Amino acid sequence: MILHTLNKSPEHAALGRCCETIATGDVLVLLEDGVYCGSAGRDRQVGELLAQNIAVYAINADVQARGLAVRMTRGVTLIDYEGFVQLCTEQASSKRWG
Amino acid sequence: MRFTIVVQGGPYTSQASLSAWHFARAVVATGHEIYRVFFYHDGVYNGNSLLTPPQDETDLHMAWCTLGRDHGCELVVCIASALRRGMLDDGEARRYEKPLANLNKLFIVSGLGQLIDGAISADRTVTFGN
Amino acid sequence: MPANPGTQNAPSIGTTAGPAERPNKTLLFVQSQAPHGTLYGQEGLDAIMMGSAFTECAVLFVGDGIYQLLANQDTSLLASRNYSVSYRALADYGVEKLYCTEADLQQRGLTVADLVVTPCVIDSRALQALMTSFDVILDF
Repeated sequence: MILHTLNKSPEHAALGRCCETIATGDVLVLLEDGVYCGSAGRDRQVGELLAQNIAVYAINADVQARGLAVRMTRGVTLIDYEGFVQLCTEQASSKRWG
Repeated sequence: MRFTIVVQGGPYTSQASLSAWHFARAVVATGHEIYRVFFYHDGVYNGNSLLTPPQDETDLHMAWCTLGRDHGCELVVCIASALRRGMLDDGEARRYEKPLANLNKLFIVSGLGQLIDGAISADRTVTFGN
Repeated sequence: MPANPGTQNAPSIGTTAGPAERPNKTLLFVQSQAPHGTLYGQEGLDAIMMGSAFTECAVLFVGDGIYQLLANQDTSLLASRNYSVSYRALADYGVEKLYCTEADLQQRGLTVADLVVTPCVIDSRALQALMTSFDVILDF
């Protein structure tokens, strides 16, 4: 399965395109401005992915840097870069959206 | 596992280079191996030895150099992307009769074949861009 | 320098090469940016052509990336390279599988008749299957 990375805020069409394409068993890693997609008020699509049991992660350094630590959606798992590497090893390939 | 990391974003323009560097360090820290870091598009600017950020900011150029030196990571800049953007090593500067070379010697100038080889030969390929 | 490819870890899923040779992975290139506004498309096409010399490659156009294939591009006033014509040559490089989605065409008021080459038009479910079927995805 595929590890999808998303580095753009919900303003950008990348989020919608990613959500249309992601499949059961894939995982999504939010990084850089992508972490806004998992924050309160901006998390509609990410919420839908979580409801479909698609695992969504966010890079903690990006969350902290943007002041979003208390605003992240329940169900989005915060990871460090080591966790990101680990997820890459578990998925067959990766796809960047941005 | 062996990773190829593709960096398409320029330093201090987008966060792509910084994210890629954090990821690269984590690959090494978790006992995996970096097969190659391939700098493409504006990513080639990471090899610019003239980058002089303020002292209280992360020096991304030096950060890559440290990774290359301490962990033997192969740092490859795409020759077509690099020449177009004025990133030259000594050999290319001489060949094109340019007044100076600005690519750090820890970075290797090579062709796009290195990107394809990296994608084929590594177990995983991860791209960072903007 | 990296060790001789293929001698260390077992090939990942989808590869059939023996231990002494390089795993023959398939590559999916994804073009997602409109032409000329950035250099991603042009440099991505260079990578596709190089990839074709190594292994089986296909190209997926997503979002505004499909604009790279729009016919009648004329960059003479812009003084920029019109690389859309190079897509016609891709088949000569052995890259015959080009894909885009019906939704991306429709959203942009396009049909395949408006393009310099004719990609295979697929829906989002086929898109998922397509991406999963390649060993490596390279995004531009």
